[in-house]
Amino acid sequence: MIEVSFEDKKIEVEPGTTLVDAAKAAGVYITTLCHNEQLEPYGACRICSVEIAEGERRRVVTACNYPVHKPVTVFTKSERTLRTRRVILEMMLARWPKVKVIQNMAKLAGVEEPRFAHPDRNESENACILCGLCVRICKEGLWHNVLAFEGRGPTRKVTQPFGEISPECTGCSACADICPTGAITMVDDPNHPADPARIRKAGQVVTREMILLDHQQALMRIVGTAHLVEIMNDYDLLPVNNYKFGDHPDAEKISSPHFRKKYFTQGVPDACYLGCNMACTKAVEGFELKTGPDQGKFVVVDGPEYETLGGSSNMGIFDPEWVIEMNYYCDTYGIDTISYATAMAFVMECYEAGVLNQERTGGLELPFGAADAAIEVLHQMAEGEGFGLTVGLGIRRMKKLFAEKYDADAAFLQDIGMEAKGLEYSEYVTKESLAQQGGYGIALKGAQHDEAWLIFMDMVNKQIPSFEDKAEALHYFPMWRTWFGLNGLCKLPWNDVEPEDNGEVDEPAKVPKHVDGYCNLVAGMTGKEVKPADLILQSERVYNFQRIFNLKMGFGKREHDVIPYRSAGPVTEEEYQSRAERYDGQLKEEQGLDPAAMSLAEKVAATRQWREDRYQKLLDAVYKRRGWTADGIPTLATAKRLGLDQMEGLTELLAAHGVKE
Amino acid sequence: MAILVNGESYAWRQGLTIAQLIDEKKFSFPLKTVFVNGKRIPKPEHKKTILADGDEVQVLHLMSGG
Ligand code: FES
Repeated sequence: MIEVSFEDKKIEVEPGTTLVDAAKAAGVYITTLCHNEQLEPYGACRICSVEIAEGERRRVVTACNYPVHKPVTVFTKSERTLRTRRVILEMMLARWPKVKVIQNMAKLAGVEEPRFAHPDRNESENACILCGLCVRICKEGLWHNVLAFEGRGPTRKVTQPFGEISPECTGCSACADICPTGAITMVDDPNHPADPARIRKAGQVVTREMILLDHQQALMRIVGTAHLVEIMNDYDLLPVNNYKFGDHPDAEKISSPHFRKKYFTQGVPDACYLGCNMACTKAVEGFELKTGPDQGKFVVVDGPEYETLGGSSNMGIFDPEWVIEMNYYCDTYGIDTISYATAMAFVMECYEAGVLNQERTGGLELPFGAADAAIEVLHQMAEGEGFGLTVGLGIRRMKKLFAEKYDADAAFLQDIGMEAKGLEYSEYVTKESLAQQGGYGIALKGAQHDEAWLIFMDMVNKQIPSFEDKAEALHYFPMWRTWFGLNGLCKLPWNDVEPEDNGEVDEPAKVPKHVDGYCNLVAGMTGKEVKPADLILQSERVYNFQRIFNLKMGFGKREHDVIPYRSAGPVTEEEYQSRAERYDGQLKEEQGLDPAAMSLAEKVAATRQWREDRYQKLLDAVYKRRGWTADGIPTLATAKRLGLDQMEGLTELLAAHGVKE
Repeated sequence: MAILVNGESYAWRQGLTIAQLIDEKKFSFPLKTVFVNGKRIPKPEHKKTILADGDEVQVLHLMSGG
């Protein structure tokens, strides 16, 4: 720590802190103009000039970009400081006499009329004063280069490439918003929203949070979702060996610091939408492929993201280059990395359990961690040949096939085959979060977590202890998240960056300030005021419609919300043993049993019974909260409340499933 | 000699700070808020705040979505 002294205050700061930040921390005011906390120090206007003493040496420096490296005394009111500021302001006033900010600062500094005339005098109230804030927010904050300086000296000005509106400009208005003089005006949006300014304002909130907070929050701008690998590993949630375990000592090898240091090369983000400054897509460049049809080629690979990395640990593979190769080929072949990885993890467990063998896999050895064989299966899947043809069927069909063809134990395959409604699970271990088991099991399109991710609320925070609490969460969050789908919006800016004070509000998990922001978006677009509850209602209509659609297609009842037991508890004795302390404790505390007096098989069985029973109770509570029957079908009353009863054939469909009111 | 951390008992010892507790519990997720006996303790104070025997600590992880 280094001491910084002001006229009447002292403070200690980290080396490298700028004088402006030190002053702010000490409660000392230094005038600034071209400085902004969202941006890197720049030092264009020199308004922040202050006299300093470092040892014997006294001189004037610009406070906004002067880093503290040794003890320093800052004279914010010395004659030399004041004189310097006055001269700068005099020149500015001579050049831009009508600009409000300059007039105000000049007045404060005691400058009335400049003593000289400026050759480039500009009489506009909204003249550009060349502070560069707009150029920098566009480049540093939004990662665009829509604005730039052109020319030097008196001809210097801010412009767009070739003086035309750049196609890269998304109209985010960050430049107009940050401009201190009003020199930038926005032209109308071609979509003709009802209130463009309101939309821009809502967007600016998140843009600003991304710039100011992301580096201390989720690092989405820097490593994207890959940061979840190390976190999930710490919380026993990273799937290892087909979800048997939740952590692994080698997880570090595929963690985000490793990718950041060695593989992620793109300095610029690759956002899905130009205006998004979260821009969480990361890429690996110049990667030499080791296998497959493109072997030996150097390629760019988009990713890997968390799910791809978690899928790899789920197969027991912890080789970062293997993940990149797999990521490349899944993308190239058009195969989902999650379904591939989860299906392979199932296959590997089947191999280790003796359900599969080399004869059945076309000669491939496929225990957990068999990286070379696993990538070979991926190529075969794409070619539609060999054992790849079998894996390409997906887990649901493989279970049936293995039971019929190889006489495997169907119940065991059901326990370890991680799919629901035919879709492979995404990459989280859910054994200790009942709510998330429901999140996967009840989800309309199968076992994905886009409807609800409740693991921290439930398992770590213990915020939703009762069945009713969990049911409420399984009502609100799926409805809320469905709303993003209805509007074609990405949900990451909702909760992968959060307002600084989010921890202090009621119900922080909902990120209420951001929900209000979405209301502003809707109102700004349509001209119709909406409240958060209105958004939920919009989703509820669609969600129930989808459930009814599922019913019609043969997937919309309680029997379809079943989950493989692996997602609810330990299937095997090995799994139980790996977390024995936890499970033994639960037998004692939750069920009043004495684990010391029980055999391992008895303990596994008792744990299972308790957990399966809880899942059924959860379904009861969720169906009730959603206004569904005990069989998981929307009641006629629910359909009416949501205006769905107008749908042709609805009453008949419900009646055919025994729902009459 | 215990404190409650998110409703579960945790062994307390003299001098245990919030920062140490977070470390030991491996609460590495960055978006979180800590309350001790209902009062929010800002992050810069985690290193200095010493927990007392019997304290109720809530470490609220502010993520509701993967
Ligand atoms: S504010 Fe420091 S140079 Fe402009």
